[in-house]
Amino acid sequence: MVLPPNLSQAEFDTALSEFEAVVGTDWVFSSDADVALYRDSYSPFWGEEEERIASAAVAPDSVEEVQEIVRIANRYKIPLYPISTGRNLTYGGAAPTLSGSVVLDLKRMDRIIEVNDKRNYALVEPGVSYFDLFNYIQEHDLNVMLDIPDPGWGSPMGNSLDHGVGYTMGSYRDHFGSHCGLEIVTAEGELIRTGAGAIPDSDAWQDFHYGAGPSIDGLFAQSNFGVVTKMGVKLMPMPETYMTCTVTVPRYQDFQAMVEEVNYLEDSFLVGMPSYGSPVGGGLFDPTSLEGLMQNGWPTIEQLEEFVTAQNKHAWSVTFQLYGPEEIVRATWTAVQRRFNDKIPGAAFQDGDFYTLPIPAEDIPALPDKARLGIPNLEIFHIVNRNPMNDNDPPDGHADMFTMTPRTAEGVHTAARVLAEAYQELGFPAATHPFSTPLMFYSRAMVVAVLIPTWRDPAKNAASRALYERCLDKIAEQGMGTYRTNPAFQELAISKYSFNDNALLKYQEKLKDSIDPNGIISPGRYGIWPANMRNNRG
Amino acid sequence: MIDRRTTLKFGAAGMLGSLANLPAQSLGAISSKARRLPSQAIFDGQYSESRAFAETLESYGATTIDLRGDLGKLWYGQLRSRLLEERKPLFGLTNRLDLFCLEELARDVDMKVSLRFDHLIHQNGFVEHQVAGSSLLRPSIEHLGHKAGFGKTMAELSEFYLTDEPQEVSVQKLTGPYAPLNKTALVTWVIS
Repeated sequence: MVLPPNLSQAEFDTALSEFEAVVGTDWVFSSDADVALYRDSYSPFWGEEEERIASAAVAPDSVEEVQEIVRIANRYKIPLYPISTGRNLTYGGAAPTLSGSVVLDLKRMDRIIEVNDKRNYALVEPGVSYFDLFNYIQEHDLNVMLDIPDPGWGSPMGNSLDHGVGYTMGSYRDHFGSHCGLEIVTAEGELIRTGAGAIPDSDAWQDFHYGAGPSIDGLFAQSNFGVVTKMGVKLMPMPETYMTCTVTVPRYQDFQAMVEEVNYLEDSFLVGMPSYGSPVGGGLFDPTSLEGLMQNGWPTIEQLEEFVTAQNKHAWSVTFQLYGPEEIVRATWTAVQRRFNDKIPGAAFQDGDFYTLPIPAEDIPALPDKARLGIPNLEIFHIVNRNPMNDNDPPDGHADMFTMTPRTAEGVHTAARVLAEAYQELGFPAATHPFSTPLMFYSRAMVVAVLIPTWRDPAKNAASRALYERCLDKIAEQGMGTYRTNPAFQELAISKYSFNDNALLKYQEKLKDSIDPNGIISPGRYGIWPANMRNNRG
Repeated sequence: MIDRRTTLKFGAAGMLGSLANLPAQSLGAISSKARRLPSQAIFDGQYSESRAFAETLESYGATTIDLRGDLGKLWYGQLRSRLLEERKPLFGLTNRLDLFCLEELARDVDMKVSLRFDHLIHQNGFVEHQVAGSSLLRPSIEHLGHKAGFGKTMAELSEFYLTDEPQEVSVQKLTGPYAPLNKTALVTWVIS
């Protein structure tokens, strides 16, 4: 058994007894077998001394129980690591940032307090999953659509607080950006509500999330300043119809004009999530088809244009999701075509799927792309499970390396180039190439993604960690960073946000010391260490 | 193969022990708790071995669920609430991916993988077996051979799957979700 730092077994046993007095003996987990449930299945340190292992877990059922647990943790200076469902696998899952922490498992707090389809929000507890919320909306025949991550087994709260993302309209798929009101148990056990929720008996909590004065909501995302126990979620009114449509452009150098036009359409709220692709480029899981093109270094523009011409295909594509009344959806598609025709000679257009919403329950299983319709599912595992990268020696997980780039063609190509260099420098085949395309999780930033394998084999994991770290270093040299990562890489990722001698992190740690003086909430998360554990850095 | 009525008549432990290639001392160590037939099982109708597993267990009276379709829908739609009401052990023969997902989901109800037999089927039909979570059952894989047809045998052996052995933590999260590209990775498992 791993113990919390600076605590004897006897002291820890006493603390566990106090936890049991609060939540009941059934809801404190301390056997090795129980604690193993909280291991990070994708850990890049699996089986090594540095693997993050919890000392125990405790699962409260109410806000009051959370407050009591926090008070006990303060008395014993036991680090707590709050999780909602704990299944955000590539970002650490249920495992704590600091070994020896007690996982504060909020799975029993799974109440859907309200779903309002006249004012279009939900108010939920941490343990509510996207599946739960979807089922509730279906059962109550409510006229709202979810924006979900993929897979959908996480919780709206956990996903939002980890800056998770979805697949519909820009203002909804930034999940923290679309939260509306928080209830928080502070590190000292106080209960606060943000926005209009701070007004006693307010009925406008989810309508008016700023309140007056400074908004502190952002402090509770990707952080360690408190335990969020309720959260409002803005919901999209159920659109009348949904349509997909695809634009392709012929030349390699058309990408910049395509990006500018997509930016215009997104920022004008005319289209939902754009999905970029390249008809001539390899996919995320099959970059090898372009290895030949990169044999003598990064190709020139002329070589790339020749390559595209030789393929007799268009260089780039983007697929839009359109939501709304049919007249508007079809008129938007007409306008999109006109605008591309005006700007990019040779642009071509293709109609995609069209659905009247809501989709009848019996038709859901056959839908090809449920996430963009807000329908939670686990199908993505099947897509990732069978891919050429697995070969005959499949990895056991992956650590996603997401590079946030400016919304320009140059930004995407630069990220792709330096990531390819990082792979090649360490002897791996490049995972990115000149036709790599960005993901538009956030409407105002592009993401160039590579999935770095993790293993049960320490030697292979060491190589993967080196690769991940090299990728972070290389993108930082270009002024780029990542937006979330496994705890194994959080300190390094945060160290890249170092403007003015790490002024941002220093400020965050001043706050930490002030509002969590014993450093009990998720010490080390995203590089924020409390004063009494700051020597853990690095 | 074994006839169920014969088994009951002559004693499950002796008959199945022989079938499973279990040494006598192992049988002695398996308590009456162990000789409990599964009451609920998960299978995947796209695999013949899994179908055979389910058909055999159904003939013993178990309720079986085909998880073709979305596992999340099954878990959040019925399995989770059923297990929260009563944490009866769940048996299954599925692919590795679905076990991985179920293992993650089972934390909701504080249940964990306690036994797994991994079956790796090569393209030429050769099958490799490995067992984790029970040293008592380790000899049984010698009986399974390396050809198709193990699904029925895994069901027949299922009443030995709950043992009084100390729980081996190493059986948990033994693999990730991924399967080799050119092989089929199936697993017989118990979540309890």
